[in-house]
Amino acid sequence: MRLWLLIILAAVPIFGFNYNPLLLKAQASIFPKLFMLVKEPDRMLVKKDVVFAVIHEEEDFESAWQLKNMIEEQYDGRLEGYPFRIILIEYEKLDDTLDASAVIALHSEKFIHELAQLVIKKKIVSFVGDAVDLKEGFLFSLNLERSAVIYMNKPMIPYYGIEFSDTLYHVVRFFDGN
Amino acid sequence: MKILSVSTLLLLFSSIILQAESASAIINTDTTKGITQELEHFTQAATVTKVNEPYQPYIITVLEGEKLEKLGVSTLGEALELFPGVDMSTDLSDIKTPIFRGSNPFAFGQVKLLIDGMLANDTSIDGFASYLYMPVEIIKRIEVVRGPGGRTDGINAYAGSIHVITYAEEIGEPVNRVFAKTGSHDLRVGGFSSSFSEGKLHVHTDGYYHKDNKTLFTGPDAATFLGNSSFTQSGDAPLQTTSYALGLQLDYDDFNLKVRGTQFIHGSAYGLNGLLPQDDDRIEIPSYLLELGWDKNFGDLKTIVKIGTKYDSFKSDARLITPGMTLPNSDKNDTVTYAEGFFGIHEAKQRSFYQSTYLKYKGIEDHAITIGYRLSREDTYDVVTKTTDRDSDSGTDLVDYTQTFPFFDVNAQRDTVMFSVQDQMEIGTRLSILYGINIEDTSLSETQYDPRISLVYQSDMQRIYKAIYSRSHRNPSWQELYTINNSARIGNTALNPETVDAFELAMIQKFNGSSYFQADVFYLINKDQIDKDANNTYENSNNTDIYGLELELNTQITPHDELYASYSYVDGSDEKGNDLANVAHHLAKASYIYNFTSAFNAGTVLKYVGNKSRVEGDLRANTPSYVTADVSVSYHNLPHQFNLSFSVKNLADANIAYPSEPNTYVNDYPQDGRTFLFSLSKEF
Repeated sequence: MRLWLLIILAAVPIFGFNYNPLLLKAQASIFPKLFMLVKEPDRMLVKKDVVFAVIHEEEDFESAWQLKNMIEEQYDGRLEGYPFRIILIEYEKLDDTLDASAVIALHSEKFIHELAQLVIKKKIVSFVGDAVDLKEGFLFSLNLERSAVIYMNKPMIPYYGIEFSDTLYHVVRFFDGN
Repeated sequence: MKILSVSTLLLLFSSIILQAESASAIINTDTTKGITQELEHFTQAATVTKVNEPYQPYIITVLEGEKLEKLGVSTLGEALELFPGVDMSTDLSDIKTPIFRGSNPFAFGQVKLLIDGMLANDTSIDGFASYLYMPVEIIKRIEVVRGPGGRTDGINAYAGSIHVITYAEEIGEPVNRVFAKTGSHDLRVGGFSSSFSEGKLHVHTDGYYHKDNKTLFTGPDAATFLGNSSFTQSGDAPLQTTSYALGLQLDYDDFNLKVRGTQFIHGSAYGLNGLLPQDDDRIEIPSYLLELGWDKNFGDLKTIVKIGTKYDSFKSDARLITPGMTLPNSDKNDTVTYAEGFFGIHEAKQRSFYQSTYLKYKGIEDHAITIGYRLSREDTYDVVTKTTDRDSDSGTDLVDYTQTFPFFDVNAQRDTVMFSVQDQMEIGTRLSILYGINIEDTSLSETQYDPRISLVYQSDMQRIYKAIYSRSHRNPSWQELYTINNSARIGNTALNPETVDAFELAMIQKFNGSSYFQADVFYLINKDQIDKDANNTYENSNNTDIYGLELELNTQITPHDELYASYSYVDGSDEKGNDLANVAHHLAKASYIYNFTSAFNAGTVLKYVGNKSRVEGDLRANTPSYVTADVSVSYHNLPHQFNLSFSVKNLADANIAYPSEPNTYVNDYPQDGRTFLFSLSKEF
């Protein structure tokens, strides 16, 4: 399997958007913990599992794969007692059948707006790697600024209909659209 | 009874719900605490690795070693030429040094080099030529701070600082690799980098061997200016280099030990006196660094204690005067003709010891306070001076003048105490102010007070503004202070430190991901700049005002490429209104990598260096501008984890010359034409 993956990686033009490895690692570590601050996580399960979908452009497959591996290494298939799976989906293959507890959206010039509409419609917790994309309507982003900052798009919470623990507000900074 | 039963059930149910909520609250509190700790951890990692470079309180550019490899860049010296505002200069011994923003191209030491946090500038000339051959394969990243704002604990940067981080850094994936290179000038390079972790123990080691047989045609030499025009020579300047180095870092719990030894043997280039030397004449500049550190956190207080030593030396073993030339004797009352030439072995060994303690306290909300000191002693512990008889032609036999005519003051010594305090204050989420002062007292000069203040304002998530004022100084080097009995350079122990007041403004516009545009303007008020006078005596010769701007763009045009481009403009004058000598007013650089697949990529580096005017009284035409283009192709084999790359440097074979000092080589110092490089590396 690993060999096949390596062969595929060598054959296709998979270089894409520049992701900082430290930012990916921080996302892999923090996003699942943020998800666990949902008040009723049971409502978000997919067949009793917590499922994170990493949505990526075709050329960002390697970054998405790295992110998946980092999350799996850290959480080893369990998230606070729940079975935990990570799936990769290309933007072009996205449709209404998307079934996930949370979405991590990698960069996309073309499809980012479409994905934002979809996660709002399906009320899926959403994370992005760049706070600028919160303008589209995603819920959380993690930025490495002077310090590591979690931005939360608070005005969008009612559209998602998801309630979070009050302690969440101790660790996030509200996104003010600027 | 019924009512009682229902009430009991309700109470029980409420109690269960409350307990469940209470358990959930505890879990959520633990989760939140975990997130807070992770945010702190990633903040520290981002600061250490300069991932958050746009928010740093100084003007910084970071280039990653992996990216440099893709561009076919081979050494630290080549990599430095990619940074905005950085040009390279050389001297008669071909000791190269980077020039930042056109600041005093006649002096070494205005730029400090730190390798994994250890100061690498040598004591002799305050340069670091031997480290410029460090292969990029052992470099994780290079952080270049322009301006004096980037000084680190106890180390003063003047025009800028270069921090080389090897793969000894524990953050990130460990790298285990071997590499080999070959190319023009019979180049042969081999090396390795390896890390190992077990529990609290982390071990890193790296090393390399570099050998080339480089010569470049040059001349005519300086014989005419020494009154012996009939002996003027042109020919191949010996620029061959042999360099090898070994680095070791051990980290255990709160302790770390860093050791790095570098030997550097280089052809005598253009001759210490400006006369073309023999093919096998050489200089040696070895450097050995050792540091023991202790980093310990006590809650909000971090203690950083370091104790270290550095040994370096300068040795020249060369023919200094062309056969047949006639020169004054030692009393200058007669002349001597040296039929076979005049030979000399000159060696000066220096050592320095230092100890520093810094305390970083974060216990006051929105403040990060650093306070500490650094003590150091530098001295010369051995001098050797052997030359041909100064009063009669002794052929190739040497006379030991170490006691009677040493070329260096054997009693050279400087003690330094530096105290520093600074506070980084956060005002809201958008504004950060760093302010502080370094106070330095040395046994050779007056106390120096170097304050700085830096404001970083984040107007929105994509735009950052910086305003910086900083003052710094450079203490004179040993060469400038203690060279004696030498007509080509005469030291002066009365020299004052060079000083600079720097004013900088910067704007950073971030785009998606790691893309950004940075623009900065600067104004530097330099005082007491050190250079040689007409008698070759070092003196505080002039004051200069320098101003300029730097533009920098790092972006992707397509998902498959990486573009990094910069333009810098510098101008100014000394107090007599003379133009900045030996300084290119315009520098433009661009590097571009295109990834065809994850296995194949091609890269190119384009550089434009503008012409450079001469020093006052030097009537030669300006050193001409030049454009160079380097191209490279790389193949990365993922299954077997090896890389192959081939690059051509200076593809169009442009004529490149670095300015020579007046009355030496009238045609300047020519540099490489078109060269080739083939590299292979294998990771484990």
